[in-house]
Amino acid sequence: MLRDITLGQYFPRESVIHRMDPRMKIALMTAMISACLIAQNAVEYAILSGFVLAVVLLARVPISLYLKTLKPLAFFIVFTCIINLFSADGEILAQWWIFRITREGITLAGLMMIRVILLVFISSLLTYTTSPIQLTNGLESLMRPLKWVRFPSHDVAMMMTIALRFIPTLIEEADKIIKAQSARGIDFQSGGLIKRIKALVPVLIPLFVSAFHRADELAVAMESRCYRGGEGRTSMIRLRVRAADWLAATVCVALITGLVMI
Amino acid sequence: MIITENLTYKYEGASVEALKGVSLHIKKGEFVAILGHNGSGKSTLAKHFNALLTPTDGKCVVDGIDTAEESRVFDVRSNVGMVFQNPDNQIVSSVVEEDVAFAPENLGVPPEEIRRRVDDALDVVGMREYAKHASHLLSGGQKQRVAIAGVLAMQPSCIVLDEPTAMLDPRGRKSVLNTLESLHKRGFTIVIITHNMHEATLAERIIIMNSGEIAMSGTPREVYARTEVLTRAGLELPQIAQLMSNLGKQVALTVDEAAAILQKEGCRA
Repeated sequence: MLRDITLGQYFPRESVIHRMDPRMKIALMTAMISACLIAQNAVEYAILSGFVLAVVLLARVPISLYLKTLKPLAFFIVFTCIINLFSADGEILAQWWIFRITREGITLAGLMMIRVILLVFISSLLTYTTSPIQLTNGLESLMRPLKWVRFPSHDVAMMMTIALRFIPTLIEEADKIIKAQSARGIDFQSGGLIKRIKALVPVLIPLFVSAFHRADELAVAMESRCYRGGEGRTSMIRLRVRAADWLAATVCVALITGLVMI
Repeated sequence: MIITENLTYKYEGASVEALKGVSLHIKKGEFVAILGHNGSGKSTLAKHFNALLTPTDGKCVVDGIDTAEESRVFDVRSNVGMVFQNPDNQIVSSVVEEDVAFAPENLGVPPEEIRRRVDDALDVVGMREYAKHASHLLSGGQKQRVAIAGVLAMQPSCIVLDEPTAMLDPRGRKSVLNTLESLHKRGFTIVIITHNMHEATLAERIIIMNSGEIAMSGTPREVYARTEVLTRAGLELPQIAQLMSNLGKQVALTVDEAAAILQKEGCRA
């Protein structure tokens, strides 16, 4: 069922965006998200949307994938729109009982919707174009200065790598346990919420036991391959910020300063 | 290569020693099988070879380094690579080549050198074309070969495998055993821990373990000739050797060999 989630949301393609340094991508994504939150009026949002759309096209990942991520958020988006629609003061267009729709309300709702959609697009851009390994490498490198405050950046990155590695294995295992317990007559499908949650207990307990067992064996295997924490460790993949990355950074910074100025 | 002297080990809280004074000598380039039933101490012994365990009493020396010497633990571990039974629980990264790179990264090898070692190691086990694949989607035999590549990337001179084929299907088992034979031909010292007699036949020397002691050691031919020791160690002869023994004939290791012997005698009759 969830067999191919391993590589996260990663969508391998040959594109300029895929080739960018993961650290630069993370930094620029953060910058773009803040720009989305700062933007005030329709003009600014139009510029931002145009820019994001251009990057999306450059990344050569099918738009349908982005829309898929939007789907589960549809309710949330509609809900915020409605709240905004009714809560603004200003020129009243229609009124019924305590509800009134104002011109400002409509604009606000529209901008809110665009804002949420842009946020989803920007964050998906990062996960679609960066493999999890690159992402962890990038995060580890970005977190390195935190060593000053004794933040264990290497350990956090290692934990992420292992978690990514074992998600599919554990899902497979859960699948097997569910089948085994169904064969013993446990009913997962019917009954109320409480009953169904209770039915999961005989799945979760063996799953946890096995996860601990795996962790134990993995620790021994890592030790036998000379693992000793981040100290003195090198990496096969060397992150390099190239001219293209600086160009992307310049464009983003120019755009954001432009937005702040107007 | 590996020398143990009167090696004794007792697990914490256990009442009996898991190993009771084991002395053995594994020579460089040798292919040794350590055979025993469950709880015979064979895995415990293997864990001493790369300093995952250190002796309670006695000594274990690898290439002149005493494994009890804490400062040289990583020299021992990079010289004696260890492959475990469950292929899923020893692969660290979700991408094949990243996993193979794990050990040299730990050793602080420069990036270009790691790249070269990873490519070489994947070539040796015949998994180069899977370099960028997701590791969990491989078959058991492929995973186990990736694990072997991960060990090779440390450039060890000896590889210890703890029941590497126990969880594999016949095809995966065959591919792993073929890999081991080709590694042996390249000059690696191979130590395989197993309870499968058939696998042990591949080795040049078999060491039989029984309740923490060496029950017998010798070439497969010598070992199979002494059925009574094997039975006492709770082991069964490979079927073909058992057949020859029941017929009262000389020991044969393979079906072809047995056929040749029987045919010769048949002609004479």
